[in-house]
Amino acid sequence: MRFLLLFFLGIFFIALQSTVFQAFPEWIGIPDLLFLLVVFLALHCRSVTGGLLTLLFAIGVEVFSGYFLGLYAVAYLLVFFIIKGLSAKFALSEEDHQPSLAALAYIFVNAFVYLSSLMLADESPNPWGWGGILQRVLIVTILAIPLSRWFSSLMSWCDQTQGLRPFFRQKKGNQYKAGV
Amino acid sequence: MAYERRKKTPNPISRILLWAILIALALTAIITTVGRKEFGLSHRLALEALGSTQVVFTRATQFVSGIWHHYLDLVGVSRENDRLRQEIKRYIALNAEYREAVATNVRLNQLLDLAQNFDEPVLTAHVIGRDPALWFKTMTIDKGISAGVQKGMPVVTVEGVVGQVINVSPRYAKVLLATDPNSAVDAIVQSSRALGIVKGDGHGYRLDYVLKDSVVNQDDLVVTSGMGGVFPKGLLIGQVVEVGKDRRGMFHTITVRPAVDFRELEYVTIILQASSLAD
Repeated sequence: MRFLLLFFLGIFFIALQSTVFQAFPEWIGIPDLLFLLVVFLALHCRSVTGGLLTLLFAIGVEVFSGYFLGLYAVAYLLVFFIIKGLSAKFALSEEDHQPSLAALAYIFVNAFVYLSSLMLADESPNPWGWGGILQRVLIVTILAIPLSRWFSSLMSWCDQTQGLRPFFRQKKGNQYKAGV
Repeated sequence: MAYERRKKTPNPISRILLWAILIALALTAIITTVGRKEFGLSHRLALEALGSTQVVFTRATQFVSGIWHHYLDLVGVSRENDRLRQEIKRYIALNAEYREAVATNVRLNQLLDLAQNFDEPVLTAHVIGRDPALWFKTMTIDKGISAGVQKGMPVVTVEGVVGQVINVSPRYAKVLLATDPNSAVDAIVQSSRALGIVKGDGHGYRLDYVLKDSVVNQDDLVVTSGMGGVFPKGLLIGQVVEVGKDRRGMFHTITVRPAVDFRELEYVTIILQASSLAD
């Protein structure tokens, strides 16, 4: 249930970022909600589930972005496992660390994709512009805490919904013993 | 000595006499007025008294009635106002729909006219998505292999060159925009016939490999040369914005403004021709 919810949420974010957000004026920028979801997965999901979801999301991004396949897959998985590894030793999942963690990870992913494109392409991609990247980092930093809270509440809601399934659960033992 | 005041008891005879006189007077007044047209004293007095009362009552009634009618009018006006507002909203929405339909019609007609300029069959596609990343300039269209789209096919609009198909799926395709640094289009300066290659720089174009002995001026139009075999000859690419004054090197440094507004792209035309350059 959780897996499906997160999967469809990621797909929804990819679609949103490649369509609706593109209509935003340039000074607003495009919020990378999917990336924040990947950070959330790294902090709160198990390696296999989170890693699989991250890979699926990266494939989704590659469908709409760029011309070299595999760059986002490697970048997202690297970020996922680095955060996962660090969070085992440090208290990265605490809310105070979310904005800086998201900002650093975002710069890392973009730098990775940019440098990889530099190496793979005949021509360099669009020149590295600090203006554009800092604008997006700022958006990611601002949205890190609210989105993390929202994802958490969504997970709680998901768990509660699963808990509300007594109609499908088989009752065990003698239900009438106490009444006899 | 105390005097006791004695109560005067009216004489029954005098009382009867008094009533008889009063009735006689009344009868006389009535009899004398029957058939007359002018008011007598009694009528005037009655009119004065009742008239004043009538004025008070009428004014009071009119006041209350006025308030009531105003209230009713206000309620009516308010309801009518709401209704008119709803109608205005509906008409605005309808108007927007009609305008959109007209605009779409104009665009599609332009694309149809454009299609008649090519020898190859063409296909109109709707732009459904854009590259969310900072480093690449691509977009997604709603036509794919099932519609005959193949990798390498040129994509254009009425304004000019858009790009080239780089990935296809059964129903969709990804287009590399001409503004991407990895895009290159063989071009020619329309006025001087100077040959070069237009490359994207992320936002606009750069016209490379134009020899310095060629004459290139600001505002010159740059069109496709047709030499690469991908784009048909003569399609508008853009307009020269600046010609660099660098003394070194063999080539001009030319900046070109795209003819196409890539942010406003909604429909594009794919020229259904095979291309060897894509691979």
